[in-house]
Amino acid sequence: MNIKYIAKKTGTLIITLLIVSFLSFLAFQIIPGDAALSKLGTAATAEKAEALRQEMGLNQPVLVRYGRWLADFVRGDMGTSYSYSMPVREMIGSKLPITLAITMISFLMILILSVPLGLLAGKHEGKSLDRALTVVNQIVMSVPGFFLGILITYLFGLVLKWFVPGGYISYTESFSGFLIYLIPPCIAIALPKCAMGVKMLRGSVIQELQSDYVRTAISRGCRENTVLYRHVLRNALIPVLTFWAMTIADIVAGSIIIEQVFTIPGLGTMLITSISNRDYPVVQCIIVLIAGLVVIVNFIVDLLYRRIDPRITGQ
Amino acid sequence: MKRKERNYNLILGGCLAALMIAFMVVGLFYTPYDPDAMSGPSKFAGPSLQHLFGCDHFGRDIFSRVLTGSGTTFFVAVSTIVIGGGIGTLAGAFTGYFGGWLDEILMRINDAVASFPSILLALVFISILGPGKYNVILALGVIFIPSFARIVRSEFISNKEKDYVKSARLMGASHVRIMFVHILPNVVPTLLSAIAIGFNNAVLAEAGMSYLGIGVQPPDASLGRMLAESQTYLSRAPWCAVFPGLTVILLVLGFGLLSDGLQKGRGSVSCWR
Amino acid sequence: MLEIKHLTISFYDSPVPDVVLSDFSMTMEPGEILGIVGESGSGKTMMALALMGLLKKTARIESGEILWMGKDLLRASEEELRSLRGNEISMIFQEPMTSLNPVLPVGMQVEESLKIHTDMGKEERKKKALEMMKAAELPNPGELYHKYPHQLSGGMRQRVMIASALVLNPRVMIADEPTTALDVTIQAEILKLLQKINREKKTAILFISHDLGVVRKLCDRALVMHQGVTVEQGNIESLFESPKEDYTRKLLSSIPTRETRLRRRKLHE
Repeated sequence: MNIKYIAKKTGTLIITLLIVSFLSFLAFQIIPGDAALSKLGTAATAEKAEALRQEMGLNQPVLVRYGRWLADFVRGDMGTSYSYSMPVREMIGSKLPITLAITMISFLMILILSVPLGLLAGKHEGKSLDRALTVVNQIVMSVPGFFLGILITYLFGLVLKWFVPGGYISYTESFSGFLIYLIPPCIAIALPKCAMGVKMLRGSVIQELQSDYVRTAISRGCRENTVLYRHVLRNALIPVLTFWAMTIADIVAGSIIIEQVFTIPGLGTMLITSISNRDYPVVQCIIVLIAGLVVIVNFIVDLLYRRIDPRITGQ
Repeated sequence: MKRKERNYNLILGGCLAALMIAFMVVGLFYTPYDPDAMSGPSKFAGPSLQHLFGCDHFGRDIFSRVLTGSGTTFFVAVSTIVIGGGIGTLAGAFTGYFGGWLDEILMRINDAVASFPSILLALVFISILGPGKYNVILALGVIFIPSFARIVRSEFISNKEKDYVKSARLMGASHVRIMFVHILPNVVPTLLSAIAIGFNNAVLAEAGMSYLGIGVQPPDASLGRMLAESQTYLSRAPWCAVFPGLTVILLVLGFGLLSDGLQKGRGSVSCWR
Repeated sequence: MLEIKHLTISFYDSPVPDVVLSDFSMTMEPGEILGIVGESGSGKTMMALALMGLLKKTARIESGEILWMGKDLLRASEEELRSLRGNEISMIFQEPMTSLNPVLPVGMQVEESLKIHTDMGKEERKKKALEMMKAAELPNPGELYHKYPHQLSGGMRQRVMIASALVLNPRVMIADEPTTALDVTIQAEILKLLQKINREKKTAILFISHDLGVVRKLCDRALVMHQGVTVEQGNIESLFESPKEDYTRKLLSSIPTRETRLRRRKLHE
């Protein structure tokens, strides 16, 4: 891959990250009642608030405040929680691995399930296998992740007793126990997305199977499966790649809710608590982190596109 | 390849969606029981002829609660579509028809917003505005503007060069007249499909936020909140969870099929988020 | 070597079956170049696809036989057909751009038949592929080997297709309008290449075209088709000098001159 292209893309990445972080910073500046008042709580008087504002630099222009906030953020100082008077970084540091683990496991599940099923359905288009898959797909796609989580809790947790609902095990305690507890919530996140993935890939495979190069491959004596895996798969994945990038963002968003269903103390739970407590430094930090993740995933997908589709040039 | 195939998606989706809309509209005006009336004896009563969907931990009739909850959901989703679809269509029509620097800027913002999951953006809004039905509508409405704008914009771009627009221009029709009398009706099929998808997204987002306790607030009934409450009594009264959840599924399924059916024949691989 | 007897093919896309080829017969001898001429929709491509077993699912072979070395291909198993494709019979198509897989390097596509039909090692396959690319008069095969189809010109892509079709030295190569999508000068070069290959490797070529001028230049024998029916066949000289049928005469009188060809090209673009 060419260095210039990567450098250019990295430049765009940094600019996007700056814009996104500035917008999230700005969003929290328009909140009625400022940080000084929040910090003082009931003890607020006009003079005290003014003094604290001066001290916190709240009277300076937005851009200056953003610059300072960014410099602190990059250095690892992500502010202090209003509710817990604790550095936000410490609060988030221990939660981040949980959400990352959920995201990764769910994403792997989606890949492992949707690719073979999508290929299978596309290959047998119109046959009973494809029809059955399409119907199941359509239904699964319509189930909200958190309701699926409740159903799983009921069926596998309460009736079959395969896991203990609410029995979250911290990764510091037992890593394998932690991973096992994450399986049901990850399934709840992954299944609906997986159904969409199957639908996308199926459509893409059906379209690619009509291509001339497929005819060429058969005329060379390729077996059906060779045509599918060597020729069609890579072409069919190109449009699906964008969907996967969006899926990662969706998984993170979905995990916010699923964490509540399975009482997992991850980033999502903290975000919701902080929103209820109006603990803005924490909310802002989590939002910026997730936004950063979304931007970085898009960046990686851009690079992947280039690898998988040689037609895309540096422009 | 010309074999006529019945558009089952459209038929099935249309019927299901119509049924669910009827259900939700009824929920706005009528319920068999007072959805908030508590009753000791019928606490955790299972589904029966008297209480079709059973009763919850306060002995409230779940069928009535699902009806009013659906009504709230319907109200939120429709208001969201009106805000997002209305402003989005206007923005898309103007940027698509006129192009130029405004178009450039709006599309860049669009791209940025589109890559973020809507529920996350909604959470940012809610954390600033505070929870509640109207704030949810405002947040979701604003968030949906870009997606409508994008769809309408691309339709306007492809339509504005067509002959019927050129002839209308020759007849001396004004830009506004061309946009809304001539082009807009041609955009309607695409717009309808987008509305169905948007409706689904709104239903899912509202249910999700209410489940988290930061969406619709009591006394307004909401399916998401019912699901959250039901979790505590899941082993005792699973029907408290099943019926609100099923309602959401049928809603999303109906509108999803409808949107697929509307898109069929346009050759696009569709997917809703 | 190849004999088609009374082949009839119908399409079942619409409720009323559509006969695209009716009672078609022909024979082909080793090493000859046989032209099939006809307008689009005359059934010439369907015949070729039937020969390769590449017909769409909605097409049905109503009757007839396709005899290859005395064996009926219509009754052969998929596995038997597969072992012939790319090995004994190969095919090149009209659109060299879409006929090559856009995401695979050129070299891999040239040597694919070797990978399928032989147990050659990687190095050996590459050597053979480079040899073949050179025989197809591709400049700089070593470099091209790693390139992708979109980086090549139309003429080069068709040469790549030819190299990939000939890599196993098949007895017959079916060429379905191989020069239609190309510029006139490149068209001439490709025709010359086909002639050279026929001479040097003794590969028989079934040349399908709507262009009588091209067929006259290249083929030994030709067969004129119209709406799924064979109108006339015979030696190229006698066919052109003394056509027996009206349709052939009409076709002959419409051989494009330089001007009309240019005009038509513009229309196509």
